[in-house]
Amino acid sequence: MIEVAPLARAFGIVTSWPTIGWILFGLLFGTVIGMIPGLGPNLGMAVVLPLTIELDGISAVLLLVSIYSGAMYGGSVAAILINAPGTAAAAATTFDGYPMSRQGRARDALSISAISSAFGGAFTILLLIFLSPLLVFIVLLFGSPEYFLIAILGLALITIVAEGSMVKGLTAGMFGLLLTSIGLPVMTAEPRYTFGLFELYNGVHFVVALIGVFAIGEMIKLANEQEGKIAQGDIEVEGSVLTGAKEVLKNPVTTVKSAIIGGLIGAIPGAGASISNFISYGEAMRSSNEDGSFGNGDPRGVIASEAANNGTVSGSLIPTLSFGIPGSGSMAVLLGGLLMHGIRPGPDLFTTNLYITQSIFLALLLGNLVILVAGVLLFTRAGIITQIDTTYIIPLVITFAVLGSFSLRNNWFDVFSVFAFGVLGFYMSKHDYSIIAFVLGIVLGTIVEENLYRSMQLSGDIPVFFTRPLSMVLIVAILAILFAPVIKNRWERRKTTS
Amino acid sequence: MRIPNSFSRLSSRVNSEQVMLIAMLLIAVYMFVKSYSFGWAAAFFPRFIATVTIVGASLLLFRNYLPGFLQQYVTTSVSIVNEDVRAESTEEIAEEAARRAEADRAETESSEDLLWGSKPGLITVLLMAGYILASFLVGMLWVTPVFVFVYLVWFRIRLSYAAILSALSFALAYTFMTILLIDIDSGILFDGGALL
Repeated sequence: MIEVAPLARAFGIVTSWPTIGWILFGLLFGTVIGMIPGLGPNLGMAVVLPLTIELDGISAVLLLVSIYSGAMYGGSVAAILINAPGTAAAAATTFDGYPMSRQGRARDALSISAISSAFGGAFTILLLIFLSPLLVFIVLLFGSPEYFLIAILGLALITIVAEGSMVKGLTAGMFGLLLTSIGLPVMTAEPRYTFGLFELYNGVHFVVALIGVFAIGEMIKLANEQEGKIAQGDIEVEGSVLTGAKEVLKNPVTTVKSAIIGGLIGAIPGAGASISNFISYGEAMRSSNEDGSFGNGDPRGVIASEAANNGTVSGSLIPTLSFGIPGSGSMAVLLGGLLMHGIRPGPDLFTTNLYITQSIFLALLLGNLVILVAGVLLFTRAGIITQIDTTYIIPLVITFAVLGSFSLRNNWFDVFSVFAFGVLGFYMSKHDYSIIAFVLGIVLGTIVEENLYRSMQLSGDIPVFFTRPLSMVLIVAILAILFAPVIKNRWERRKTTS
Repeated sequence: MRIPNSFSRLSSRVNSEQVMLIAMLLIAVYMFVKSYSFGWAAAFFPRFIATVTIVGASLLLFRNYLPGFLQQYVTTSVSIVNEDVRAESTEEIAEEAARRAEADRAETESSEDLLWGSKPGLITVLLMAGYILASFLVGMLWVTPVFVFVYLVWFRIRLSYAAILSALSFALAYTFMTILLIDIDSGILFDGGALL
């Protein structure tokens, strides 16, 4: 049963000024960031995060989530017009979006993208609002031991979802957790690894790590790729918005199915929209009877990718808000925003603070409405943004990042750290270490330590993890993931021999 | 000449991943050892996590010397969504899209390359390090526009654009200073507060 009072309170918050202004600004900023190839929601949210200090917690979180939602849609504009996805989440949109542009149907593709993004996002958010009572039930089953175990499970799951060696992912995550033990621990006043420096007493600020990895690291990567000059000549945006709208209406099954796929994949920690858009596209292809149309400007390709990536936004909120396990890099930044403003994920967000959760849902719903209107009327004419040379942007983002990191605590240690995290993030990404696992380790460090400490105190002769059924289930799941490579190898070897 | 030769031999054997892993390993070992000087409540968590980090970093660092099954465990890529789901259906189209992008880029890309174009990433890192260090010495407010200007000129952006963006960055830093009340007009060598 949906609780009406928190929903009504959330509606009041979302529609109040200046909150609604922050939501609209976030959507616009996110869309523009998403349109510029090489940037994306992680960077946009990380750079804005320190600036939210001045805002109240809910406005800050709604601003961040609106940036995310806007960037998810914005990525498709560059994908359609210049064949360079603004974000990884729009990679599959290039397959049919760009051919449509070349066929003089760019406006059709852009309106398809806006409408299917808006629909996919709105549909999954409504689904989530209806499912939230079930989430409350599940979340309330969790105690300290389970929260500790689910953090470890989240780290393990991220390493198996992201491609690459699992040992690399786990090491990155553990290294992130380790760095959070610098400074004063929560449970005792004994300083750790401070070298007597007062600046280190408060430890590594997770926002600094997020800015370093997502802003500085990405800028180094962007500079290294030498793709600053995007100049593609004049972009001609031809076609009709109405034809695009009709295409979406003609394919309701593809739209709904893709939104659901996006939502489900988003709910898996580590599996963000960069994965869901491919899977949804693949499913649309598989279920199509016409061979050869996909990849040559089939509108269903754009629908599948775009409905899925905006659907992923709602899906990824589930593990983030319920257990504090972000589904993607952007969700890690959102989690950072929640914690920075004293909002802790978990049971409270589904009981006493349900209105905060509902506000996030409603802001996304409103955001999708704005995407629909602005996307169809405004952004079908905004192709010029995709031509911005990223060489101009790199020093400005670095400036933002450095100023933002210093403004957190007026602490030079944070500025030096942001640089170090940027370089580390760049090399981790270069050598396929899971950035999300590393960031998750840093964001969750304090929570993990606190829950581990409490669990140890609850333990008698037998550690508490082995006396609770839900903990046992989580331990089995962690072990299954850890031994997945061995099982997979055995399975493949047996298949080859037979 | 022995030192440069040894250095070049060493640098040809060690790659950036190994340097990163060695750094992780050293930090984890230090934190593990140091944890024995803390009380149980403060030591338990870092000791446990440092142990796992040491094991992970060591396995990765010495993966070429591990026995077969362990090496396979360390290096195998496990993904629940890779080749089976993603590639089968979309691989050909992705390849085609990549070919198309490459062809388009070749057609339209500007002929101007970046100045000393081989290592723009390294130059970005060095300029950024200089920016942070100079900010620490004389104040971020003054160094920010200089950094933006130098960066853009280095990468051959038109002087007029570089000047405009540099002024914009000063305005940005000034806004940060006044709204968030941060002390960025002075460094340890220079007190710029009197100038404002």
